[in-house]
Amino acid sequence: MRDTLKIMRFDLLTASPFAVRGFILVAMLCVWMGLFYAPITLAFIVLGALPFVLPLNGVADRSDFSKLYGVMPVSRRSITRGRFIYIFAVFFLTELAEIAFAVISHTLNLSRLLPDRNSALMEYVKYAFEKEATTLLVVFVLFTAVCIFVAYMEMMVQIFGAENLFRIMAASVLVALGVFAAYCMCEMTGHGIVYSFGINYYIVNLLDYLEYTIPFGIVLNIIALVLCLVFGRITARRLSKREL
Amino acid sequence: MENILEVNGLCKTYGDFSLKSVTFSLPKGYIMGFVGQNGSGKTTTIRSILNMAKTDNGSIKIFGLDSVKDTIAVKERLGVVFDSLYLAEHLSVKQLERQIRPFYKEWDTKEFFRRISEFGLPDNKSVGTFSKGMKMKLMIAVALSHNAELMILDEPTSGLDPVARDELLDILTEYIANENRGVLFSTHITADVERIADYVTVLHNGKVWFTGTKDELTEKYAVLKGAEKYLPDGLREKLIGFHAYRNGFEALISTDDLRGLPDKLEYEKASIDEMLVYIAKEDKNEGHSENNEV
Repeated sequence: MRDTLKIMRFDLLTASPFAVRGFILVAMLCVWMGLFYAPITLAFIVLGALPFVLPLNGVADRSDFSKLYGVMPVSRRSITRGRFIYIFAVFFLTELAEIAFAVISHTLNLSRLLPDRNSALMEYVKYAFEKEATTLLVVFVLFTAVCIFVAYMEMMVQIFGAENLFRIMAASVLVALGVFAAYCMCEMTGHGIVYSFGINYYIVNLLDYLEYTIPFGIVLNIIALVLCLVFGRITARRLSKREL
Repeated sequence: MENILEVNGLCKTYGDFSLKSVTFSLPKGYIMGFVGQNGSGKTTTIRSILNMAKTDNGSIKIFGLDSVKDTIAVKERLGVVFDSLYLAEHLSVKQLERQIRPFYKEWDTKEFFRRISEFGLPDNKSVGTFSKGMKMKLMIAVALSHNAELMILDEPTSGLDPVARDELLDILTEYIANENRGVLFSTHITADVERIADYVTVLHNGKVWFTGTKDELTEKYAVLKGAEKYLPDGLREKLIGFHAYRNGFEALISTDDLRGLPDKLEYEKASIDEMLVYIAKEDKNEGHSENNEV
């Protein structure tokens, strides 16, 4: 575990020069919007965290990290596992910050301070501050989607190589579309995973309440973590057969 | 003498190229030059020592430990310098130090910055902007700052100007003053080997052509010259890299075969460079090269 933490620190220091300024800029913009106009925008801070992960493979290629990994006293499994836990950690910490700001935003409701309270725009703003559960739901869903997507792409790039990035993306989109089409077909023929539209609707309604949204968010976080670990394990197993 | 590095029967095949039962050892307190022409298998051997390449057969022991099973313990005590920088080029020396430090139990930050200052490297510029010589020094500073007991250098002097090469060789000489250390450095610049190496391993076509002390090597072979007609019967087959000119021939000969040669034939001590040239010529004479591609 100690080696995994060292690799996470290594990755953070590698990406920081590319990421910190952009992240602060995006975070400030989202927080300002989130506090005054629409708390839901806080969920987009997670996109500002992408530069903490995306440049890593490019730097590794340019700086010949395959040699560095061969020289450092750390196992290849720890290197791979560290990268996937790092991906989860970066987005998870961002998500925690988003949740904290969402709570502050809904508690303070700073939109009260804005002028023209009766304008049409302000009606939307007032509505945006009404449902804390919706804000949190968007935070959880966006975090999970981004985290899983980035971890999946990391696995594909490490296994098939960055030079095949576009092919990997195209293939992944086709697979996703196929799964979605299959799901729709199942739903329409009444044999879906979520048995009927009635149950679907019922679940969506429940997520309007904090007492259901928070457990749902925890489940999503666990799914994201498990998938990151699984992707890391698959990648480590595939890479262990290769030479550095 | 205790060996710091032992390579036994190392075999490794990459497509058309193969290492064939490479065996050599380096005692503690000495520098070994690992020479051979391009594509002879030097880098593959070093990659195998570092457990970066999977071997087909054979064993490698470093500090008496297995290079595969004990790879992490071994790498704690190894310093490695490649021909190109393997550190994040966009970071400065200070940032790199923070990045690498946690991986080594014996990392000494003070020693690292002392070396950086001694080598005249700026600590706040991105290392990607450094010259080749500066990058080399940076890798050496990293290797020296975790108290590495064995330094492995893969073609460290290629592409360096004479001043930087001289500095590097001085650093290695200073490093080996501690008799519990060892240095293995591969190069095709044999002048460097002649200057600082105590031991030499010559690799040719994936096989060890010679391994032993530098003095043994230089005493073992000579360059024989003269008219072909004076060659005694049966000696022609023993010559290495025989090359006939209009007025005579030249070839490498084992000094054991010098006894009883006619006075008309002349011989002189062979340099390592000449040995490499003659063993390459021998391949041409035989009309084949076993490892054309790497």
